[in-house]
Amino acid sequence: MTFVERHIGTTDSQKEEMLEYLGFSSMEELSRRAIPDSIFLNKDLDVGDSLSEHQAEQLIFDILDKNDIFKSFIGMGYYGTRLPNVVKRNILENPGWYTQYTPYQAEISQGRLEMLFNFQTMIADLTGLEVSNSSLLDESTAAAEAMIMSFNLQRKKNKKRYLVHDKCHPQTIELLKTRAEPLGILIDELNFDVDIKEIPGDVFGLILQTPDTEGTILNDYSELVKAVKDEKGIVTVATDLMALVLFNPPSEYGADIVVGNAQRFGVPLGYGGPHAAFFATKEKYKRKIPGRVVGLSVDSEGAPAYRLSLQSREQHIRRERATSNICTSQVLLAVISAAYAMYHGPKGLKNIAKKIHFLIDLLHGSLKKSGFKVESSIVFDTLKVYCDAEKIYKKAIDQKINLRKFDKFAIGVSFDELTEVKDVQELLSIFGINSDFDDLEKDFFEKTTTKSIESAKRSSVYLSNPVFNILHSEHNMLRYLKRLENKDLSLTSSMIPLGSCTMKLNPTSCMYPVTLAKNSNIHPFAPEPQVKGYKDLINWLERDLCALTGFDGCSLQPNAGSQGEYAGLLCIRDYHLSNGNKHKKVCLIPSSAHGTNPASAVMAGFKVKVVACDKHGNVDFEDLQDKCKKHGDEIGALMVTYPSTHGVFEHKIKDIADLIHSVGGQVYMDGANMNAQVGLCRPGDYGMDVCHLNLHKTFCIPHGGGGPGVGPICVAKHLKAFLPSHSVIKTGYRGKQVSSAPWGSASILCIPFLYIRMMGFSGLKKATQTAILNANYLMKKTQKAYKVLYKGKTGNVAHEFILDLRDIENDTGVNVTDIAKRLMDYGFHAPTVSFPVPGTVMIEPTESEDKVELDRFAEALISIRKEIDEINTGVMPKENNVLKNSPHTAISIASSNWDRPYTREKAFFPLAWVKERKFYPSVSRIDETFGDRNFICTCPPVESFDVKD
Amino acid sequence: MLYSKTHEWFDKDANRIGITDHAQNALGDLTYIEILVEEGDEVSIGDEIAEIDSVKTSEVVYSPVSGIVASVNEDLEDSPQLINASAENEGWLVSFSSFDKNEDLMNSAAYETYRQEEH
Repeated sequence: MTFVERHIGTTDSQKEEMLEYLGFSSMEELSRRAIPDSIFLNKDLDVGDSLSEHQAEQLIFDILDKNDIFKSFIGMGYYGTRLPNVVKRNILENPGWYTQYTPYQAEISQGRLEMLFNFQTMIADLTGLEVSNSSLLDESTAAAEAMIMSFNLQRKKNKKRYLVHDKCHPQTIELLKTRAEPLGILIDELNFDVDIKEIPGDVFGLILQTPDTEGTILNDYSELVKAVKDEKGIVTVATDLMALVLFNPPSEYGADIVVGNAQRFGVPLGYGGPHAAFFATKEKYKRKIPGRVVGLSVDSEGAPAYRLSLQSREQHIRRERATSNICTSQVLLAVISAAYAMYHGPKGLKNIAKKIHFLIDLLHGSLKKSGFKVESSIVFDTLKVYCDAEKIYKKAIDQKINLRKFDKFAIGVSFDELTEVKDVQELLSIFGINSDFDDLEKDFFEKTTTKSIESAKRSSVYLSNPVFNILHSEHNMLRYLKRLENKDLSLTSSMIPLGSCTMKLNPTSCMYPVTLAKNSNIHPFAPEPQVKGYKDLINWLERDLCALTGFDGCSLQPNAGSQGEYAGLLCIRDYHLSNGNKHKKVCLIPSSAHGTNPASAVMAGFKVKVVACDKHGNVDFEDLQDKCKKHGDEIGALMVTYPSTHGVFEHKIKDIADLIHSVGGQVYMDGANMNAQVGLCRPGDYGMDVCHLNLHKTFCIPHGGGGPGVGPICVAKHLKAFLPSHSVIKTGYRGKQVSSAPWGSASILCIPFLYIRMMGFSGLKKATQTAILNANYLMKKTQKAYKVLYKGKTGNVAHEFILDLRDIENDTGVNVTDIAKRLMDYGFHAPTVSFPVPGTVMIEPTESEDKVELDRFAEALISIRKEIDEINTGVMPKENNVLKNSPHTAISIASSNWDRPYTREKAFFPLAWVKERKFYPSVSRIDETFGDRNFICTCPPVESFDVKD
Repeated sequence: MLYSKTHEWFDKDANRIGITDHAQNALGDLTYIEILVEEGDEVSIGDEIAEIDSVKTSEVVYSPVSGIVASVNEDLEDSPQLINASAENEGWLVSFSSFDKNEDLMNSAAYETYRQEEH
């Protein structure tokens, strides 16, 4: 069998059966029916022929082999780390942990929710603050989110000035500038050493970094914090998680927000990402915190249960009122970092931190003794050494060592978990110093507390919760991870038919290179000659994505779809500004758009105007014409999702683009639904100017249970120059930097790359056609039992469709949530609930499911419809039935007082095949309101877990 | 009691405003109320005075009158459910020390008709 056949679940004979059922003679006929003629692609695209799995394996080996692994002492927020093998094999390389969706359906997501809760507890403990979110995309965007949160807290007072410590990492300063400018925020760089006498009255906040980018631990900065607070400003501190193990947390100096990168807790460098950034704040700001927060609530039996909390803060609810477009966290990476802390425990972490500190101290002392001038007195892991930088830097390179070069006169050295005494000796020899540390005892670092720490030494305890103290034996760790994994429904159990999310196969043959050393162990700021393999891979993938979208330029920097939207809109904004069109500030967005669209537009400095949708879910063309007349020359952009969020290829898409262009606007296409287009039509051909792609949807990067995502943008020629640049590494473009790392989450780019190689053009086209076939087949199967909300002109849908459940609720009181939860009893994950239309579900089967799985899902939905009818006809009471009481847990089924009007078997094994493939929800229906009213986001003392009185 | 098209009420005897019982019912169980004004603020008709969150929604409350804020209902911070239980009495949001008339407000019968037509 070929890879194409393995990826596409539906076999050729099944396809024939399904086509016949739908009344089509061929796949070609079906796709021509679904896609308007005017945009249909009538040629092959140059992405090569399909390679076999074996050929692709050889290719990626050859490419990665061109990368050179040097020892990295660059630092700057990225450090070497050891991912414990038990965590690597059981989480990072385990589809049970990386193929789940975002945990919206909390009852079947308790495993990763518990791990994220542990992550939050770890961050809150280490930063000394009360509230932590469940991670952000990277350190620089976390700092930017802190700035925006501070800005919004002071918005009423009309304050515009933000103070930025000039020794924050350069990539952080650059990103703060990106985010500040469109919102009218003024950035003042602040030199910490110069006495700050007065804080200007228009300052809304300050960000400091400690240890700063040169390694200095800021000594007591509480006075500066106080001065900013006297002006009602909000203080953020960017810091290092490992340093917090030894040094006083920023909370003790009065910080309101603490941000940083959790990468060095077990997540490989990966040439820049992905990894989890953290964000913690005070209890009083809990409702202003950006990103996802996991909270503790109770289920209908009164048992503790986790869920995503306080979602009314988020962009999908607040839309243009949102203050952040963040809609994901880095779940898989946050889980790994939490597991790393559990594996080592507080004592183990302290030993790691002490060793790092001891070794830098050893280097420090030796350099000083030999007459080198070294910056700063208190350091954790980084030194700035004054020397002939060019010479030292080159000498190091000759010995396969990367240092940081500040300028001609100074070199930076950062140590990490991987550093050994021999590395110190090697470095000293580069500086021309002979050293002899042979008499050092083996456990030298455990016994030593260096004097330099004393003034800033941490006294508060951390990670005292049992979960960080009882999992040090491998069996305990292994069993804990497996127990949690089993609570989560992933693609290893069944299809996850989430509309607009494209939960397709994450092929093992694409996944395995992720953890190879030549992919993992490379610093994002490594010099270009060492990353030839990465360069090849990146250039090739950019060319592929341009070919598939019909565009001229591509940037892989954005770390999520939302970041892609933002980057794309900034391209449009910069383009208008470069043409002197400052006034083009209106961004039109259809009412059916994803919630991130309006939030991203506001962040990019646009004024959002909503365009209506007609009753078929299409952009209301008349309303669009009216809006174009009304706002005319002020129109900067239109954001449109194609095929629409309603799962239909709008026939007017070209007219829409022409209309916007006629008033000088640019058209942005949200690429969430690209899985319906690859190989069949291209946004660049039908008038779009820029689009983002969700590589974690269309191109097989796993969802990781809610992150990582990769959201590159592709643009037309005239926008190419405005693609993201980077403050440390040249990207070849001059647009604004949107991520910490120049190529975002580089270590997972091998996944889409290999997918495209192994599919080839014909395979990709076949996949899209099959996705459309599967959706239309499933629609026809289920429309006997449910109402389909929208179809295209030809009576077909694209790659997804919406079932309208509102009549059912009116008739029987059974709502969309009841149906979503009841599907869990059948072993399925619910489709997308109440988006884009409240009271509906949106189903996207993808090409990777075969007919047998589609039939099983259809059977479950039809069986549920029968259960609803029993309520409608009065056979079952309205409030006490299988739907209202779903999902059913093993505990409730085994209960000795079963008093429900239906049998246990009906509740638990509603269809014959459920017995063989039963998925056991670990909690029953979770009380959402209780969780939001009684917010708990970190592990309380164990005895207080019994929260319901 | 007078009512606005955006489902706020104004009690001209108590000088208080809040959201209607109908609005409360549509929003479902409330989880958080953030009042955006404070004592002494000058408020105009249509100004945003509060944000009301339930688990799945977040809505803005607009002032049905103009005036000077006398006090805000501080009980709502810990007990948002007060609005679910008693939207048009104990669940009041803001009181005014002085206010201007808003001729566009409806009486209870007119609001009821409006509400049904809107639906």
